[in-house]
Amino acid sequence: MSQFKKTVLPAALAFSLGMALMSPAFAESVLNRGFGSAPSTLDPQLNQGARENYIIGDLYEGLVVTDPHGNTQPGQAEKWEVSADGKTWTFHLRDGLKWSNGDPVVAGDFVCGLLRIIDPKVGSTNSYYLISVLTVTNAKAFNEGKVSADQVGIKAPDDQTIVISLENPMPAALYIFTTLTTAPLHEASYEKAGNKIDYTNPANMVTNGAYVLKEFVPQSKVVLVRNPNYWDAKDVKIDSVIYDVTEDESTELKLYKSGAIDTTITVPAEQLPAVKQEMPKELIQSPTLGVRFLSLQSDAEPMKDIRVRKALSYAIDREFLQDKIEKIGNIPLYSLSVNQDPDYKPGKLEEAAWTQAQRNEKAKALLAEAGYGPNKPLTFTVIGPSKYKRRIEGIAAIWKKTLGIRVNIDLNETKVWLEKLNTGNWVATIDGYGGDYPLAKTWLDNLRHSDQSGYHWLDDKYEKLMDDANANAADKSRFYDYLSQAEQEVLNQYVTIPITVSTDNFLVKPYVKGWAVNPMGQPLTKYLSIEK
Amino acid sequence: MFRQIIRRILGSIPTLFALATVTFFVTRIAPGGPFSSDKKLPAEVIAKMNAMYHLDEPLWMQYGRFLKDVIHFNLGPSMYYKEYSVAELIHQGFPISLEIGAWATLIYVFFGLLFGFIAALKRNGIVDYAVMTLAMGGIVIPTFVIAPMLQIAFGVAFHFLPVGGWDGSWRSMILPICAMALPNIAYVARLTRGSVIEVLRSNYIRTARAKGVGEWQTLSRHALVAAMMPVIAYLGPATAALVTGSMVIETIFAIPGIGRYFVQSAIDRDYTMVMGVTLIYGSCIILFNMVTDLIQALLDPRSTHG
Repeated sequence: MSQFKKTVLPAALAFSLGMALMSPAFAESVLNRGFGSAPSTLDPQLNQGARENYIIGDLYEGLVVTDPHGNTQPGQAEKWEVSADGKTWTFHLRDGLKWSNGDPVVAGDFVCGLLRIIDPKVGSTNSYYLISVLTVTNAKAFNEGKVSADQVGIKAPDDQTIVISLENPMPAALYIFTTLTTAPLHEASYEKAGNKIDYTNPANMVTNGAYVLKEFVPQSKVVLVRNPNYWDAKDVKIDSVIYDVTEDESTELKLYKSGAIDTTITVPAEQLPAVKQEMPKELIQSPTLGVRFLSLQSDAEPMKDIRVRKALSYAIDREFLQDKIEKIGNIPLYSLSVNQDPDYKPGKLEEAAWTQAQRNEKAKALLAEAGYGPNKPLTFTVIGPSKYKRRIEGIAAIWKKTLGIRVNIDLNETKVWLEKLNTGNWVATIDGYGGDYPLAKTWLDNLRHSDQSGYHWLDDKYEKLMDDANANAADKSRFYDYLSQAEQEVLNQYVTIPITVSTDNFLVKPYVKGWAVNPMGQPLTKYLSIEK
Repeated sequence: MFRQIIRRILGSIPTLFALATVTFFVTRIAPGGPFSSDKKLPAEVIAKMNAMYHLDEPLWMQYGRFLKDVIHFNLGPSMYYKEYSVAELIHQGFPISLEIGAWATLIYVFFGLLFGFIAALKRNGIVDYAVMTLAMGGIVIPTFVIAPMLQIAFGVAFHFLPVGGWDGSWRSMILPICAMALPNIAYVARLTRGSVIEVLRSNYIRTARAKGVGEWQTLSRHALVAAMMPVIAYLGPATAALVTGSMVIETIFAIPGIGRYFVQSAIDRDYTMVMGVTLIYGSCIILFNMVTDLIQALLDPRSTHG
């Protein structure tokens, strides 16, 4: 054998064998998640976006967390109690909790984070969580600068206990504590940086969740690696998660197909039928809390007449609209609340029980009764955002076919539509509301009268029912009963008419385990694993 | 020459000032604001956000504030990406757009001139028609059709190149550069072809040939420079557009440049960001126009300067 073969070959063989034996120890599991357009912020208290919460949820952990099935599980708090009158919540933190820099997590950190939500100097748009959703004692006054922070009903009697005092009980309060807005804040870093922490700088960021921030490339990606100081680090199976900014949906699908990413944030609507056929097991269709409805201005012609409003609602074939026109997996809806506690009995539009043929007949009859026909054609303008184009044009086409009426459609980009909406000078629009938590109250609170909203509807009976519900919130069955009645009242008035609840479509590679379907969104990475 | 340059630079200041002023007022007059969202925030919250960014003050007062900041080269914080200032975002994205744009420019100028020349020299032959047909295709087919086709061909069907994303490597640059260069190659090829044909007909070329100057020398020394003039003129605004990134290319290939800010900031009503990218683009146009005018002046033997 040549000198080469005698020395170099065996050496090369030994080397590659050595590498092969060593590699399992170095093999790190990395999950690439498509994120959609770039995150606007990673600041838990300032963030308004639903998607940003996936990254923030991997970095921070609140008192309680949501598991992949949508159930609330203990997070940094291992147990909690609520007082008999429902006005005091007490959380007990686990022992030995640590921040990513080794400092212990104390109750004061949670108080710091919660106060930041309502701190007037911070100016978070999420302040309503603690002012109107949870009516924390003196939260409103503190937010208006009238009292100091120590007067607010958020206290840490000792390092392991947090006590929240509410003006009114709120049974769904626990959901608010699963939101990342209530994440704790590392007080020392916060004091050092002043009122604004450079959160996206990995050198500064101190977190208490399953992961820490390794790299943040704006418009490109966010890289997280495991946090060894996390209390449950041993159960976290994925070493590193990379959130890739995928603004273009078609590009995201191609990235998924080429294997560059393992999960997506959406599926382009036009490609959904093809994707359903090609990769049915990888497509996950998940219900959301996003209710979409037709709003009619009850004090403007021609909507003043309830017969017109009813007719317009009856005539919409919601199943046809979803199956044949929108085709993105959204679900027809006849209530204003979705995906919630089975003990709650949602209100329902009366036409839910009829066949579409019956609905069409009654619609035509009502319209004729209201005086509209060939001699007096019904026509009006529907305003809306461009993103609802298909839905609005679909409904207009259905109305034309069933009722023979012609409507004008005025679509604009979202911000321009919002301006028009706020003026109140409209008669019909398609609007939507994403619930903050899975209970009817979130959608119903949104419908309460407000002078600035552009909606003129004011119904004293509805307002009273909502007030009664809040007053009786300590008693779950009475609370639900009042809410249910309130929901039915709105539906009976036909001013906010449910059309559909949106469905999220994700693609998830078969080797990613732990993903489940739930209305609260995508699962935290700590629940996922990769099995190749 | 030097005086020309100074005069141009000084003259650009009022131009940029006018650009900034128009941008300022147009963005604020457009309906909608940075903080309206379909999450239906309570009015007090929106009012507070507007106050924090001084959007509740009368326009002339906001303008005064803006002028004061701009004198100190402060473009302010982005109203959408709240953790970043406009300067930081541009600082992060511009080098990437610049790199891709610069490479694309080099490539399209080289290949555009090459193909244009070949087509002109082999005028009315097969080669000419082939090149011109491809050129027409490149001009007519939009970038947002060519780009996904490249992605499918090289990224999905054959895993040669990444479908998108940016990690600074040459592999993630190839497809965006090609997609950006293609329509420009086509345009420059047509431009060059026409220009070369015209130049080859001119008197001084006939004289050179009559004098016995070799064909190769005729082309390279006399025809080339004259034929390039229209291309150089085209390069001014084209380079400005390319180095500030293409919205379409950067979105489709997931490139973190500043191209997408041009459209997205307007949609988000991120006033400060819109101002930042507009001023960058304006400055680039002024700069590159000045450079190409200088080059043309230098190269044109008829010029009285230099």
